Amino acid sequence: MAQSGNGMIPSTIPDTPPTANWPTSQIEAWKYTDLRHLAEGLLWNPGNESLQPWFIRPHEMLAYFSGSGSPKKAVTGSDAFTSIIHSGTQGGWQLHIPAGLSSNTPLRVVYTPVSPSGWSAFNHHLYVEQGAHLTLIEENEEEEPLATEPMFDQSQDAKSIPLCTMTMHHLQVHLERGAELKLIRIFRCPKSKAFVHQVDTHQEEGSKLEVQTVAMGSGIIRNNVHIQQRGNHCSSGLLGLSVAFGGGHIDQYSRIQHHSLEGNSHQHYKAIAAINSTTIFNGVLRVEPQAQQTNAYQRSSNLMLDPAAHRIGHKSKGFMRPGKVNAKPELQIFADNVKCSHGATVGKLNTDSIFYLQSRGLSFEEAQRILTLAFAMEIIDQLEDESLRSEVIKQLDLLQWH
Amino acid sequence: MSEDPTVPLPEMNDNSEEDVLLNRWAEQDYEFGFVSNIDQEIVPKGLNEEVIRWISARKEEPLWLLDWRLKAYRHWLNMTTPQWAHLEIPAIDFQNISYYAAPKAATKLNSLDELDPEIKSTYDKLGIPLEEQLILAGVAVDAVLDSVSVVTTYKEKLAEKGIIFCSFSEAVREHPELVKNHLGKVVPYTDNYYAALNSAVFSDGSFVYIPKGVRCPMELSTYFRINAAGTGQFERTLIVADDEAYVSYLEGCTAPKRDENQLHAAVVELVALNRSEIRYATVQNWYPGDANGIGGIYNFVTKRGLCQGISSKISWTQVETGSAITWKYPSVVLQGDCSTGEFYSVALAARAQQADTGTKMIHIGKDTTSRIVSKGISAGRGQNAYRGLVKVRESATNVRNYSQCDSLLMGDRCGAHTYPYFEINSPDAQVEHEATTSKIEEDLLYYCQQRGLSTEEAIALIVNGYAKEVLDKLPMEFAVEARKLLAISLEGSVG
Amino acid sequence: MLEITDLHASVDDKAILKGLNLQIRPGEVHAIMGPNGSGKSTLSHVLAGRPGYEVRGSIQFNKRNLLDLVPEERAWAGLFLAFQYPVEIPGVSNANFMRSALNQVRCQRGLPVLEASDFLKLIREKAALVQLDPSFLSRPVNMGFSGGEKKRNEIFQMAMLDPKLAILDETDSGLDIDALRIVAEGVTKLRREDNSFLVITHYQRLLDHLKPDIVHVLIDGKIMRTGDYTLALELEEKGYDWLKAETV
Repeated sequence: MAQSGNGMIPSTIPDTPPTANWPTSQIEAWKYTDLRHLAEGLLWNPGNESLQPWFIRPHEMLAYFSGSGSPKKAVTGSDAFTSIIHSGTQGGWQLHIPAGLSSNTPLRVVYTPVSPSGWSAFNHHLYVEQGAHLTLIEENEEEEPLATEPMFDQSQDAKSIPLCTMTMHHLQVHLERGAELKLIRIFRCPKSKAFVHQVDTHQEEGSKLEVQTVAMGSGIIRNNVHIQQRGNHCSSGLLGLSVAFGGGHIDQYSRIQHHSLEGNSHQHYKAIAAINSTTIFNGVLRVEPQAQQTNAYQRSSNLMLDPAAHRIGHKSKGFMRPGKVNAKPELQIFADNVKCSHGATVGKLNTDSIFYLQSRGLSFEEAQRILTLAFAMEIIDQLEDESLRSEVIKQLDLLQWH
Repeated sequence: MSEDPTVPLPEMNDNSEEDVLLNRWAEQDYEFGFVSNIDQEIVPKGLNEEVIRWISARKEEPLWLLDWRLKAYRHWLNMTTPQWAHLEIPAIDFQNISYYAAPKAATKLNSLDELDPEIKSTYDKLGIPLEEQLILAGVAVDAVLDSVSVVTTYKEKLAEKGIIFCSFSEAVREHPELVKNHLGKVVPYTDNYYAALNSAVFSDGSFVYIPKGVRCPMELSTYFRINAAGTGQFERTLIVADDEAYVSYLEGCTAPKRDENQLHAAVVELVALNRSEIRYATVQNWYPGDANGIGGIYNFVTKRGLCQGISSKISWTQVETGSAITWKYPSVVLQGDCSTGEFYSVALAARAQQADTGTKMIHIGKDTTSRIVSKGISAGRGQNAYRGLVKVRESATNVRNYSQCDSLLMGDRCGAHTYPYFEINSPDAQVEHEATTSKIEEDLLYYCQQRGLSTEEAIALIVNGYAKEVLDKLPMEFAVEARKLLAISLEGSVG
Repeated sequence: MLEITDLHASVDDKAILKGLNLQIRPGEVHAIMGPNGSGKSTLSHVLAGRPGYEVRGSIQFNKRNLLDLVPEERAWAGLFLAFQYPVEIPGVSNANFMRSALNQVRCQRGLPVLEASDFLKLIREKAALVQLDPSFLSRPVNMGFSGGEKKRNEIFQMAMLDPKLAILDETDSGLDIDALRIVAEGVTKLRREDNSFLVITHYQRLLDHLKPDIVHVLIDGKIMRTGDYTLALELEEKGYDWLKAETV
């Protein structure tokens, strides 16, 4: 059995994934992404020292690594996903931000591909002490650049193509009193690959958390954000953008649990589903009886690109299934003195707007591209890192719209 | 209230009077909890093929119906109870239920004079006058007591227009083709656990057929009453509106106060053909159990309408105040192009009641629209969940859906939950959903009190205002009853 | 009619009223003026019984101890507060709201419940007093009303409930000149020998119309000065600072 340097690996690891226990669509939280079904036939990739799955590019080294041994306080979940990732993990990073430390310069973690086939799993820990501030960027690198992907591909649904790799990351975060964390991520996933990420966050009193995720691709992405507000006056902000094309399947799941007084949370997820592609938003907002005066807001806006409109604008060949949008914003409220609301919309681009742009001389494709980007900009504009903003725009620009 | 920034707003502390009130509301008495002494025929407890054959024989059913029941029963044996709802349902011993109870003298009556006086007084106590001359508003009533329909009023008058309004058993005898054509087409016996059970053992219910081009001249209504102990009620309603027909149908339910839980597993199927419209309203006031959750009806009901014809319309309105547990999702399958589905709901969960209710709007046809308005009220230790699905098939172009789901919390031991599902597979669908959860604002109460309303009156007024959009959808006769029902809950709390 | 003695009120341990004394006799119109944060709105809410204040002192209202009464009992006793920020009540029409309130108040005062036709007559008559369009009767209480309509609706409700003592909490703020005149005329018509008004305001404008008998200046939770109508004119001219300076 392989050992990666940091000592977090359980001593016995099965050679094949224990998929029998993996979440299936029977589990409400995985209703639209059946992990067990997807992983069928994939071999577990035991990993090896030379293929360290992570590195950190510090612009400025502020944190120290706690090295081997478990972090000071591990956050553990008990859901199906957590148990997988602990049953076969190849390694991961640990980061500890000492009390009071703060800097405006973000740290960046880049996940590089581990192996050309099989599934692999990583387990990371982040501990932010009292009053410390951190901005952390998480990114995954893919060998094939997304720029080659056409937006209007008549590919099959990613779920029906056998996968060659599945990569899973589990990040456990602990925010002490008054700590602030901005977690900004770009996840990309090409065809025949699956990328699964889960962050479990434990928030103490007065801590602030922002999680911003851009997920795009023609493969399968599942992004779980779990937040436990355990102290009074916590605030959590979630922002998400999904861009699924070429048969892509992007599932953004959030679960925020308010346990304490006067907590605040707001979520805005936007999704763009191109032809043959699927986006999912499932947000669970739970307010426990003791969490009085919680203020929570959840919004899901979904845009479907219309193949019919596309055909009108551009005589296209081949079969095109429209995109699919599944949205499930849930409120579970057990405290009475609260203000909680959510909203969801699904729609297509305004045909009048497209026509207006065309009447000014833009091609149909260009009009559709501009309006789609405008829809996405509301989220992109709020990304907390300038370099990432331009990176996302560049990525979207590079997609082939013709 | 002050614009002065230096003056902090006072904390709105929970008024202890309001607490007491909410508690009392949670425990308020159930008005219809009496038991009638009617000589009844009850089949021994337990469920097996023999019982089903007995029920079928007792009702003198044709063979095809018995076969259908048995198929449903065999299918049911391999099913498990649904677990996905936000409900805690104690295990039900299906062998400890009697599947048929009927007043002994229950040959179907054609004249009210023949009706057992005790049965008549039961309905009088419920405020449902069966004497035709007393029915001021001209509502035709089918009265179902336990397993059988005891009387149907106004039949002849309706028959003049070709409208069939009778008990389900009578329809099986008199109009077998109509029944056979539609039974189980909207809710097949394989649909879910309780629908399968109902298909196997259903005893009676109402049947309505509105012929082509006929606008039903009066409200049709069924009052369901559970009376016998140890029984379940499994009625089945089928309404067919032919081309260009219109009908408005009302349903009311009550049951005695008992410590045991009784199961009510009904199935309602609606079929709307071209340009027809069916409005179906329910005021559900089954016994809700006491404040500790002892007793009460388990209301596990499958209701579904099929907008089969073009430009057809089905509208569900429900006011759910009763039952210990409610599991119910009146749905519309929008198959015909340009058809419309509506769902308007007020659900109240007080005491220890649990409700998981909502709707499904399945868009298949082009240019179909649906609208969902749900108003939940949670009090006491009540748990109230809205669960709704809006599904747009690939074939359904130009679909519109709007949903508004609000929840009102009263007291800190209750819960309000919202589970909307959207599965949109057609790119030009416009789907919008809004939901809010909050308590009655203190300022609102204070404002009403300043104008001289007691806390209780203020709550009644505010709750009725909150539910107004739904209550307004009820036919006049029921709107009054529903308002009273919400108000009665409050009246019980006068100190 | 109203006798306030050594009234203290605080919110979250922050003292706002600090020993306020005030007497109002039947038929009098009193005005309370004062700078922001002096406790004017707090006074009106303490009188009306809004929960959330810690109150000491005594308030006698027609020989009853007001502080013993819940808000609706104060309303029954004849106290009315025209809110600075009237609340919106979704789904409840103005007419329905007023009928419920009026019947309750009449019942408590030993008067018979009004017949529907009499009620309708009354409601139209009173609506005309503040020039409210009759269509507003079927609209939900204050929903979608403009600022001016809301304030006129408050005065309309006051007219309906016929209080002994009406407190007007900055009813003039947010009103244009015409609306102000309408409100003032409405109030003037309701003046009688046996009822009283307590008008809380920042500005002299409303007072020009109402001509108060007595003007008080509230600063830092206490009445700093009491005078006749000319005091209002003096304040308009000099502002509050000279009074504040005097107290230091």
